[in-house]
Amino acid sequence: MTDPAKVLGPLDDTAAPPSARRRRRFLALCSHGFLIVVAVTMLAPFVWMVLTALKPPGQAMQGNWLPTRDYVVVDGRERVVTQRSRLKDGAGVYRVRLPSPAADGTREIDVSTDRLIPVGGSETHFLLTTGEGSATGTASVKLVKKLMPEKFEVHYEGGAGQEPVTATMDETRIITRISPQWDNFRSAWTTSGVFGRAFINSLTVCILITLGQVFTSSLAAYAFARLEFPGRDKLFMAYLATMMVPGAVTMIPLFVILKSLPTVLNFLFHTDWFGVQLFVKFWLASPVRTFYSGRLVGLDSYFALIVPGLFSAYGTFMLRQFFLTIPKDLEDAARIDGCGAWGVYWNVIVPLSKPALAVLAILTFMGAWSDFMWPMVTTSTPEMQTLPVMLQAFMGITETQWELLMAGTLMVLGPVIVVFLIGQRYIIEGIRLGSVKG
Amino acid sequence: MPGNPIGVQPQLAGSLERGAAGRRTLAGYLFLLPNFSGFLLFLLLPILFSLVLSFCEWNLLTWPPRFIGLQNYHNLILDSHFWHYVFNTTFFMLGIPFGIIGSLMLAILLNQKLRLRNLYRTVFFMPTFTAGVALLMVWRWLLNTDYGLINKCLIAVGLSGVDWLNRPWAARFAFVLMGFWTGVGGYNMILYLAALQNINPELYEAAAVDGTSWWDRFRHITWPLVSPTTFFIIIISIIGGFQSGFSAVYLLARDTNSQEAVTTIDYYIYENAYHFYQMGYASAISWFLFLFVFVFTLINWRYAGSRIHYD
Repeated sequence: MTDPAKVLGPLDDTAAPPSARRRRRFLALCSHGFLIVVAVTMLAPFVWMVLTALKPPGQAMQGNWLPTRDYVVVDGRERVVTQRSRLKDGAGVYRVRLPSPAADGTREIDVSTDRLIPVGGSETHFLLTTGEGSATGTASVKLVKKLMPEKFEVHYEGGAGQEPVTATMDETRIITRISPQWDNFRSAWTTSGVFGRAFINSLTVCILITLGQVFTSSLAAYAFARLEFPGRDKLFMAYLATMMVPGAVTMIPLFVILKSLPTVLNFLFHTDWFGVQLFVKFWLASPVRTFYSGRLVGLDSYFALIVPGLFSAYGTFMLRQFFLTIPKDLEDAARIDGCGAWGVYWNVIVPLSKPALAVLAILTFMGAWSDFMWPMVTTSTPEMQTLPVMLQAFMGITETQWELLMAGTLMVLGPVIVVFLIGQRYIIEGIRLGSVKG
Repeated sequence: MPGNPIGVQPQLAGSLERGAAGRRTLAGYLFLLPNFSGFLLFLLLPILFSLVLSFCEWNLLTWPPRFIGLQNYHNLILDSHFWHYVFNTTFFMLGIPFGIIGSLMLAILLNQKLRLRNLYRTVFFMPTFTAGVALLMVWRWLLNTDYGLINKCLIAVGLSGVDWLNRPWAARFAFVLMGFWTGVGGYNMILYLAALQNINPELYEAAAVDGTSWWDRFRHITWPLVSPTTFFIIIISIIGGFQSGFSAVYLLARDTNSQEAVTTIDYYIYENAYHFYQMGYASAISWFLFLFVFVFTLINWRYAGSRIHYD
């Protein structure tokens, strides 16, 4: 380890003259200042996301930072302002929900406070514009009568055959309170409709891919690192060579293969090939199949999402490099104790390479969790979507409801952030290890 | 096998070893089998299939694909859209030097004995760890013209807001900025930290005794000693850069005025394959992409080789 104090300042801390110590402290202060600015820049988008996710409907489009709600007191009771807008002349219009005296439930009226529109230059009568009316859809024009500077009387007329209703506003001031809308998360969850399903899909796909890759890669890596067989090095070169082939090259053929797989299998099953048809019939009838309603193979199936991801040339390469650093003596000792290749792999190699296996697992999981292109190309039904694809579709549903989109985004990002905060030390160390070895 | 630790008689040992070798050969193939079958079916076979497709015209509906020789490649070289997208892809790589300088700077600062340095490291790494569709959604919101945080900040310091995602150059700049923000505290910084920690502190001590300035020490000790890392990062970033951009274009720029300005090779492949159903042409583009990647991989192998080892 470098002692970085020596990079910047004098050699010995205690023996340093006061001026040098002061200089060192000043440099540390500068470092902190700069690092804090960077840290704030890194965190700001996340904070902004959380704040937006907690805002009431429509507030994302306004200037405030914190999620707040406005209240007005009507008839002695606080009422939530459900919508704020401005008229052309700058008058504020506040929409509150009042219980209707009629039997048709609630009724919406507009209550303008700061600046009302005077009717015919009157100082006592003000006009409020209206939105949609009551449940019967007839309330249209409302008159507000200014009784005292601080007191308003709100008249609003119901439709034909309805009695006009009067409500009194005790206060013209709007009461603003910080009120995070936790309900947004539930709204996002239900609006999307397939949130839970996408979570299960993502988890299933990522866990299986991670387990599969770590298992198959470590087996192959052990073979490449320690077992001797004809053609080993040529095969390893083939692995190395395919590592530089971009994912885009294999994506199209894989898509085509998966698309045609059901046709091919149908063709084969018609001949009742090795009783495979029986197996498929069993699968079709099984409860597993009922839960995972997707297809067995082909596009838009778990097969398409998982199986192509189970094997990795990179993982094999990385683990082989790590296995090569394990002292051979340990292996020889195990062999003398009567272990076969599997015994050595399971009892010596795996326990000794836990850090490397963990790195591969983390990198694989992260990659699979954020993979977007492949799941998007292969899935077509909402039931098969993974989280990124679901979120993309959700973006189309929410349009300008930013608070819902951000609530959905936060629900996708939340688990990732939590995992990262808990395991960041291991993750970063692990990635360092992986990068250095690989 | 080194030595003969249990002292078995030579002849017996020979036959034992032959048997063991045979078993080990079999074991070798068996260990390789699961991974290799996947490798064959989902990597090698598709690669060959893709190569064949790139010489064909095929819209996915008719079978078999029609062989048209080098026509796809010929069209590709004359395709002005393609070269425009190659330009876009390389333009985004202009962010690489800034990213490298930023990462190195952060790594040097974090390599000091500072309080809270693990916390800083965590925070800097968070964008990299969370990168993906969800983070792009956050950026969509940050870059919003009327209500986005970035325009809010610009207006707060007296500038005017920018219609980021609807103006070609603004969108390009936003994409570079996004890449910088996501990557600056990520893998590259961790790599630099590892490299810095492997520099022998005595070098700095000696230089400090000679009364050199901080800048001199950086220029003559730090920079040369981390240069293998720098080289590695540049190559990896270029290789990654050629293959990137799909999600960002798809989620931020699709159907906007700036789509043409930010479309990358990766997105063009997707567009050809899944919008125009030109599987052959899309494959040809992917092989062109491979060519770019191949050149830089060769440079890496030729000039870096095994230098990227710190222990």
